[in-house]
This record gives sequence, C-alpha cells and structure tokens, in this order.
Amino acid sequence: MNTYFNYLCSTLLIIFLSACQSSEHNQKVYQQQLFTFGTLVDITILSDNSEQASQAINAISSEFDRLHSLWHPWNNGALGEINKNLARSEQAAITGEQSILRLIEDSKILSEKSNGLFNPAIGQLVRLWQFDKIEKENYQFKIPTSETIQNLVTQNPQMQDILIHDQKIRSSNPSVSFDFGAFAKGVAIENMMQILKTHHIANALINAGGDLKVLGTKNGKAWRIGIKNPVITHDSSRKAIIAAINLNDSETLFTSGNYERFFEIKGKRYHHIIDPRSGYPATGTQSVTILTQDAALADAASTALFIAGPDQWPEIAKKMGIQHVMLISDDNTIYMTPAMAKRIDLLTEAKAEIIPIILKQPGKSL
Amino acid sequence: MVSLAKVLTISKELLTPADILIIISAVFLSTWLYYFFWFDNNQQGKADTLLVQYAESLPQEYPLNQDQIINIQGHIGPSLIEIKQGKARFIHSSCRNQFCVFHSWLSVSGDTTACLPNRISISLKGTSSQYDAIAGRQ
Repeated sequence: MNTYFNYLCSTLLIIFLSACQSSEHNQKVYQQQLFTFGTLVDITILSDNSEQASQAINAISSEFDRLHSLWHPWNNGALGEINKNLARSEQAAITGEQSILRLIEDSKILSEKSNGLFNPAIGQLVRLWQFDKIEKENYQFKIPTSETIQNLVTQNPQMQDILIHDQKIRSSNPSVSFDFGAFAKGVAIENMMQILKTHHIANALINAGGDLKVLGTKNGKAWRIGIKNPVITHDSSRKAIIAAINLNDSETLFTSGNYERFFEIKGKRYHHIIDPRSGYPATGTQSVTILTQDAALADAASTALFIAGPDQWPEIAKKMGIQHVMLISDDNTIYMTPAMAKRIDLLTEAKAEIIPIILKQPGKSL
Repeated sequence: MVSLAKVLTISKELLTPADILIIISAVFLSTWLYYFFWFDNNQQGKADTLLVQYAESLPQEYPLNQDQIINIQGHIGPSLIEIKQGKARFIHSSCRNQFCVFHSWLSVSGDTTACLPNRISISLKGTSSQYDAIAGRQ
C-alpha cells in the first residue's frame, strides 16, 4: 500500500486518538549485552532514569562475574575448594559465603522431588565426560570407558549423602562432588531480580543464554517471547522460531536442550545432560521448556524432565509442582501439559514440515 | 415505519456536519486499520538490520538487503558472518567447537546467536520487533 497514504491515515488516527491518550507515558528501554557466567546475557530495563538503569546493569554484571567464579565446580573458587575437600573425604567449611549453603540445601529438596534425576552430586561423572574441556583448542574428546562410568554410577552419589552441621559440610559418600550446572543459572537469575528491585526497577527482562525471567511489563504489554526450534538446520526454509508465548510479571522460561554443550565422535553426539542412572547422556529428548515463577526451580526441573524423557516426565513434573511443560522428543513429537497448551502459540504453519505435531497431553492429572 | 427522509431530518437536527465528518472518518479509518494489520503486514516484525557486537563494545550495523561476508576480529581471532537474502549466520569462527557456525540462520527480528569464546554476538533488528526476547538455544 502507498506509504504516503499510510502516513496520512496514521496521522489522522493520532489526531483522533489523542483525545483518548492516557496519563501514562512510555518508559525508555535500556539494553546491555554481557559475556558472563559462561554465556551471553542480555539485559533489558525499562526506566525513566538512565543513571538508575546503568547502575542496575553494572551491579548485575559484577554479581554474575562474582557468582560464576564462586560457584565454579572445578576452579579455585569457594565451591571448587569444597569439592577438593570432599574428594579427600575431609569435611569442608563454608566460610563467609552463604550462597553455597543455599545452593546445597535447596537443591537437596529439589533432587528428592525429582526422584534423583536432578542430581548436582554427580560432579565426578560430569567431569568424566570432559565437559570442562569443551572450550579448549584441539582437545581430543574420548568416550569414558564403560567400567569407569559404571564404577561411579554404582557408587551412587546423592545429595542426601551430604550432611551440614555448624557451617561444615561432610559427605557419607566419597563419590559426591558438586556440579550446579543445572541449577546455578536459575538461582543467579533470581539474585539478579533482587538487584533490580533494590535499584527500584519494576520492568525488566534478563535473558541468560536463552533462559529468561521477566519483571513487570513492557510499557503495559506482556513480554512477547519466541521459542527457538531445537532442530538445528541450515535449510533456510525451516522456521527458526517454533512457538511464541506472552510472559507476565515474574514469570520465567527455562529450556534444557541436547544442542547446548556437546562433542561429536564418529558422527554421534554426546551432550552434557548426564542421566545419573546410566552415567551416559540422557536419551529420548531434544528439549524441555518450563514456564513457572521460580527460575531456580525451572532450571532444575528442565534438566530433570529432560532426563525423565517422553514417558516419565509427567510424573516428575507433578512431583516437582510444574504445571507448564513443553517437551520435544527425539522423534520430533511435541508433548505439552494442558496448561502450557493454553498459553503457547505454536507456529504450526511454519513447523508442520519440520516437526510432525502430535499434541499428546499425557499430563491430564497435573 | 420510519422513512429514510425522516431519519435524515432527525440526523440533521442532532448531528452537525463536523459530527458526520467524524463518523465517516471513523468508518474509513477502521477499514484502513483492518486492511493494514491483516493484509499488509508482511513488514511487521521483519528484520532489516544485522547488529554485530564484540564483547561489550557498541554494536556495528549492517543492512540485511546487501549480501556480504563480514570479517570481524574477536577475542581469540577472526569470525566470518554471512548476510544472504535478508538472513545472517556465522560461517567461520576462531573457536574450537564452532557451535555458532552450527547454529541455523537468523531470520527473525530479535533473534541472537554468539560465539562465546570469541565474544562476538550477532542479532537481527527491525523497525517493529515481533519478540522481546528469544528463548531456547542460543
């Protein structure tokens, strides 16, 4: 249509509607991208005050950096030191930093609720798969021998093996080693929400490598989120976004996928989500997306449901109190809870060729 | 039955010419709105610019309507980014895993991907963004 005609109509509309203008005004949008916490973090803040926005962004940036080194499982940070002590079967003291105590205590509860599928005590098993070497140049990945895997699986490290008394951690099982890779980002995002609130920011979005949480609205409208197609392809006719969803105040969306961190040997992909029952990368699932209000819970649950797979996920979701789930299985079937189906707009037209949509709703009892 | 003439007479008594103008304009504009948003909306959410950003520096902008290959120096070496037919992707990066290269084309406004070791991100932007953020794989 003629551009000038559209301009004319828009102008007329503005004149007519100016009488209906509300007293509310639009806040300015501030955006910042950070490479931190081992990922790309995008921060969007709505504010009238640029100073306020930049102070909040700086505070978030330093907190992400601080938590990253503090919670790193194998470095010389606080958690790394605890792991070294546990490996020597010594008790480890938690000094000065209560955040690790909270990580351990909260994940203990969630691990139990997930029937042990979310298990941050399997740090040794994760390390056996060398995912700490994933950024190293020219590193030759090897599949661990089945004996070493079996040995660790048999030792059965569990969060319940951990005893905390008087700021000291002991493990009754020497194979326990913490790795909060499936929990830390969620907890960190919750911390960042607190920082936003202390800076009096009511409307914001933090997206940490595709896992995100929103505060308030985007100038009165719900935040509109696109969900990526987990199927990686360079065929440009396939749609990159398979679904869209509106998020309201304090809602969070977390996804676990087999495409996030992996290596390939002889064309076979070995991804980073290790099934604690087998010791091998979990099979049957391509991705799990969780919607809830608690990012820490969402993080743990997306991992647990990924491992649970197409058959078991409804049971685990129910136990963990998760109502909104979308799981895409290896055979491209999309599973959803009824609550998720109500919220999500599947871009069916776009993805009918990519993923045969068989909407099963086994989560009826949820 | 009330005749048309009578309705017009009543209308003349109740409505001023300005009122009639407003009513005609309202009918016309609502038709236009319907047309604009339902049939002429190919441009809604369409990306027109590629933003390439190294670390926390200011992003550089490239128009998506010019096919080209961009060579940008990152933290550990160069990255090559291709713009083709309004879409963009990494075609090479100085990193071990090439996760960024493995990533599909970016075609939707708001979509982002990054080479983490090289600290380079690419994202698409348009005049009106369809999404405020993209969840899932990055």
